[in-house]
Amino acid sequence: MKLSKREKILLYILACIVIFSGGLYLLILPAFEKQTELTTEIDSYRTIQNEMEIQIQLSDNIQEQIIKANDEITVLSSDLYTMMPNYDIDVIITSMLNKHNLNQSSLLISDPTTSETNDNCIQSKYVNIQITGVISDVSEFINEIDDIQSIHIITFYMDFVENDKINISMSLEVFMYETNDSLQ
Amino acid sequence: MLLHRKHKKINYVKALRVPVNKPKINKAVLRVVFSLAFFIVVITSVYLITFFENNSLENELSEINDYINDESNQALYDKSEYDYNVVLSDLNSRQEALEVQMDSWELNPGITAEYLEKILNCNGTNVLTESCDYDDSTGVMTLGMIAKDSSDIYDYIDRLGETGIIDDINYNGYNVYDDGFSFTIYCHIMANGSGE
Repeated sequence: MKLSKREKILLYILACIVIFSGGLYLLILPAFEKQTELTTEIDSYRTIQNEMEIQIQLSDNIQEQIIKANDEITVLSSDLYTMMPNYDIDVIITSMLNKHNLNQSSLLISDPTTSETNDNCIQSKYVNIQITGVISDVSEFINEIDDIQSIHIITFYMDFVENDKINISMSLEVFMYETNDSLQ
Repeated sequence: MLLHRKHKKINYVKALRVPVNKPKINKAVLRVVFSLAFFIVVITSVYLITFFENNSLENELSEINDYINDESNQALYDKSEYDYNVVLSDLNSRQEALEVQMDSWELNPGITAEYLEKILNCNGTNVLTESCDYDDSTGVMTLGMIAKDSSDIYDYIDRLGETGIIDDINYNGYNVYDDGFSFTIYCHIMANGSGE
């Protein structure tokens, strides 16, 4: 079969188009797609790497902040009782009452109905006491409570009876600081 | 006559030369062939450049992955993140809670023995305290009193005001009993934060 000159030229042009299209779609475009994919992946992983590097660099600074915060908490909580069971609270209050010659007829420990604590690190208990004594002893007892940061008087009712004796109904709130050793 | 005829010289070499048919190259075909070669070169070059760039990117990605997946780096990162997000956050919230509580106590220290004594010492000789009720949440103290005479009540109220620790005194009258004039005083202790 003999091809005319025009047909040959058309065939050559067709060959050019096939080579160009084939090269573009089979080689260049996939290579560009891969490049785009790699660039996106690198950007994404680079962000993670930068985040890791910054976090690791901040490690020392964070440790310093932890030490500082711990020191400040130690100072702030130094006047507070650590968490203790009810019988320890009973021992503390009863020994104070005995020390000031106040006779107790009842001592009841209960949980507060509304919690004033934040993040549960400061817990409190109510202690309701019925006591009898003279005003000077009561005054000394209140004076001692004033000096203890962990104990606060919420309410009291004093009934002055004969011979300087007073019957007192008093509500105290005992605050305790709960450490979180699991995080230290 | 034949002798005088002029003979024409014949070039036999030229005459014997076999005519060679040189293949005629079509210029159009040549252009197409060159174009074809040019396309191949361009496409191959672009592909090679992209291939080497991709290779370089793959190496870079591999280095980043090595850093990220390195166990020691991961351990350092995890610890630092835990320290920051859990430990330090917990400590900060504790510190804040303690500071709020301390500020609250500083603002409202509550009733003190000194204040109680000052109030009870206002009685003098003609007034007796029957009862004393105090609520720290409001700072209000309710005093149940007995006076020998009505004028003693006014003197007592004056003395209470002079203590300097009470900012509001409320008196609503008296009842007369066998043992004297019974009256009630409602007063607000200034030491309480709500009174300042």
